[in-house]
Amino acid sequence: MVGIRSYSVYVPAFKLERKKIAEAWDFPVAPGTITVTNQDEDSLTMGIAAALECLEAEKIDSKEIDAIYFCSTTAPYTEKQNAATIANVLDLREDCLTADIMDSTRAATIALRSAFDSIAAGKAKNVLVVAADKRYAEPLSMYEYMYGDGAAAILVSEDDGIARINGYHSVNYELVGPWRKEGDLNVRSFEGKIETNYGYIQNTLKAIKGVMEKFELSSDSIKRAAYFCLDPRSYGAIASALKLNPKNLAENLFLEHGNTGTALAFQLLIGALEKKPSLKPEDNVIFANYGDGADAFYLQTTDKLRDVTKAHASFSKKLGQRIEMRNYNDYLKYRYLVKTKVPFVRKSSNVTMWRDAKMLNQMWGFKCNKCGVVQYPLMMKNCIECGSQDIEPMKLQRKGTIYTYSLDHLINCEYAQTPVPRCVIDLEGGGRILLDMTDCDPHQVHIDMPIEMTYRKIHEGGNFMNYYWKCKPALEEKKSEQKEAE
Amino acid sequence: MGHIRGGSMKDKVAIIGVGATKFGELWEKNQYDLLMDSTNEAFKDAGLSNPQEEIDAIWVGMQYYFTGLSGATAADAIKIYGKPATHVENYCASGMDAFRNACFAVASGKEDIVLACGVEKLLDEGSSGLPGFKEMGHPVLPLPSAPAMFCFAASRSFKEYGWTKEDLARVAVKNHDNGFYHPKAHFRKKITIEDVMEAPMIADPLGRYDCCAMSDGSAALVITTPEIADTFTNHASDYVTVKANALSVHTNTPWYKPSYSFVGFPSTQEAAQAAYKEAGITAKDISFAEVHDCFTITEMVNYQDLGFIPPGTANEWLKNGGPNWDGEKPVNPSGGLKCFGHPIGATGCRMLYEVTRQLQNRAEGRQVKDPVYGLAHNLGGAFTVASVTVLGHKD
Repeated sequence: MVGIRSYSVYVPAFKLERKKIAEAWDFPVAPGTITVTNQDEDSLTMGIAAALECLEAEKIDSKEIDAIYFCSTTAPYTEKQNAATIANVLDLREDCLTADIMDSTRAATIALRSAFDSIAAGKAKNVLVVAADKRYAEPLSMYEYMYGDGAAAILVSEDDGIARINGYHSVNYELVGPWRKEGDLNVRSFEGKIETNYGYIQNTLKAIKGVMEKFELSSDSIKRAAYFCLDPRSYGAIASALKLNPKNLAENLFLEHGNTGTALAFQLLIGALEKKPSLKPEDNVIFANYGDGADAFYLQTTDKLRDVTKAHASFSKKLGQRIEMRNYNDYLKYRYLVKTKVPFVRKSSNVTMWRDAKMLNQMWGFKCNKCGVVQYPLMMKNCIECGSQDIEPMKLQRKGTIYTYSLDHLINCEYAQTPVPRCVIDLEGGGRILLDMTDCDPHQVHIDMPIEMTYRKIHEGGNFMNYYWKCKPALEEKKSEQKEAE
Repeated sequence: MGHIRGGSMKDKVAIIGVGATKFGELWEKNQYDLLMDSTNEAFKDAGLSNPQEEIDAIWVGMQYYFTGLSGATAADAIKIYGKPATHVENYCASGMDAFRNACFAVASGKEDIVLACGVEKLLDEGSSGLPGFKEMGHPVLPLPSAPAMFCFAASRSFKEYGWTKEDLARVAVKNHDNGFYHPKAHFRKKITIEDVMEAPMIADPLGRYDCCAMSDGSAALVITTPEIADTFTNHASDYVTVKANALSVHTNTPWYKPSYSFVGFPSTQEAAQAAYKEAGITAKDISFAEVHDCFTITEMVNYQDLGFIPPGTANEWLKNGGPNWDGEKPVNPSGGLKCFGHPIGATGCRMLYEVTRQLQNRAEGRQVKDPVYGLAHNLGGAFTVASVTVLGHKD
């Protein structure tokens, strides 16, 4: 049997009201918001956030993972594997398969199919599928209303987990639209009607009908359906064609979140699994994704679903905690869509970054065996308190509280938001560290504030991506959710 | 408190000539011009007739590579070739550490007459904050600006001692009030508490008036043994001697040290204790001090670290006028880094220049009354390097 063992959704910190896009360009006003990344985020950092939470929410040892797929149309590297970076940050086994699946919004479900196949064949036990996208819409076009940024991760395992995957049906299809050529920043489209009717609707229907026929599922038997949403109208058209009860349809996320590309299908599925009224064990779920063809899956929930969704920070709550962008100019600034003075690019060295990878990506510090003090970083191999060389490397926790801080207006790197909170942090379980804070209102920063760490793009010095951790205000989500449950 | 070494250079080194340029935005001068000006003044003050012959060795403090590399920067500026010339870099303590190393040469008997000098040409890299961070350090480990580093002390002191931004402002107002009278100070303008409180933020809670000036400048000292000093007529009767000279170096990255309090800097504390021991005095004996007020918070922390007052009381001491020019123990009668300016490599030598002239009762700005011991304190990096020198009258 193959099932979903854990999942997570990553929602970037900012939202932009469509009204503000309309004001900027004098467009007809559209309702809702799109989710926007901070300037220090890309598909890889969002994917890492989702992947970390996916494992941590269920306290899964990263060494259990046999394969990891990173799925995106906007990966920061086109040569140099992105999944390898995630594997390093997650501290996966050296013999874990790492692969990038790119170039189509269907990448996520192509990876899911592959995960299913390898587990069903007994070749793997745990496969982590990470999907993320940060797509650029043509400025001064209504596509700016459409796209949102985000990520999701699904851990597929050899037991039923929260939902058993019974099987799938796929179709491929050739149609130019939407597309990006090598070097294009913005997604292009020519004739939306062809793309919607012949591409999206027909292929999604074919795949879903295929899996329903394979498993002899009637429309009535489907308790929940989640499939890629190109726009709310055609999303509804597919449900009508399938005679699905609209109440059983996943929220399409278009109004509040926008189309997150490769990540969208997983986000819709997760939303569907969390949606109230809660699904019961053995309920039938249809899940499909579109992009140069379509994949559809037949899932059945298990009795674990309820407990697992309770343990996760819910998608809807994360959406509710986004920070409102002041104006459209901020959006341009955060996405580097305006030319500013030459950015202050720090020097880098891939030699240093390679040598320090464990310390930088996996937060290795050490404990002094003489005086017992836990400390960071594992750069000088002797104790900062007593000088002893008798030390024991250890991985530090990525949560803590602020010991002291400053709000720095004199920045020496790329920051869209100033002042930059520079925070001296005492980590849970020991270790003191200096981190910049991101995704916050700087004026809310205070001593003793609880923080959590988030992996971000620091700069592109040396002409490569330099990633490291920042901190952000801790999400008090789980606590408040537990209170609700009580 | 670590082990304090036993040796002493008390009264083994005499300062016979001092010189300093005006500090400020000296757009038309380069580092060679500045060094030439400060050393010419020092040579004249000492009464050297032929410095190229008489100077045996040079130590020059410079922090930034764009000011200069190697001792040749000073050798070129004053055309003293074929002799030892050494560049000292130790963050903001570069100048005072150049002086310390020069003292060793004299005290050991190796050299007779030595030049200690410092220079920095900051403005060539622009005036908005200290340059060069992009070239420094690790590719991704965070590097706050200098004011942000010192804010770690401010935020923590506000929390632990209840200090306020207004307490910080008193430091700036006092130092501007002093610097107003000094013809070589960068700024010659008095300011009010309101000016400080309303200035734009640089790194919360430090605003523009909480930060020292970005200045160009140079300072120089001619040193020798007391025996030789007696033979130079200009200051044969009033030359000052080095009573103590201490340097304490801590970590570059205190934010990785779990026990670091941020309300006091161990480097200053240890350098001060070592210096008092070497001079055979206590903090009480210090008549006045030039201390490293790179930021207003730094000066407040310094009062305590130097042992002038107990921890946590800097705000009260300021309110009571203790560090004022005519107070209990004047601090920064020159105007300090805040008002006089802070060309990094020059500052330590400039403080010693000021302390020397104060002790000789010929301060160009506000003269403190009947000083016996004058202290100079440099602090650099992330509170990493502290240098404390005590000067006093000849025996």
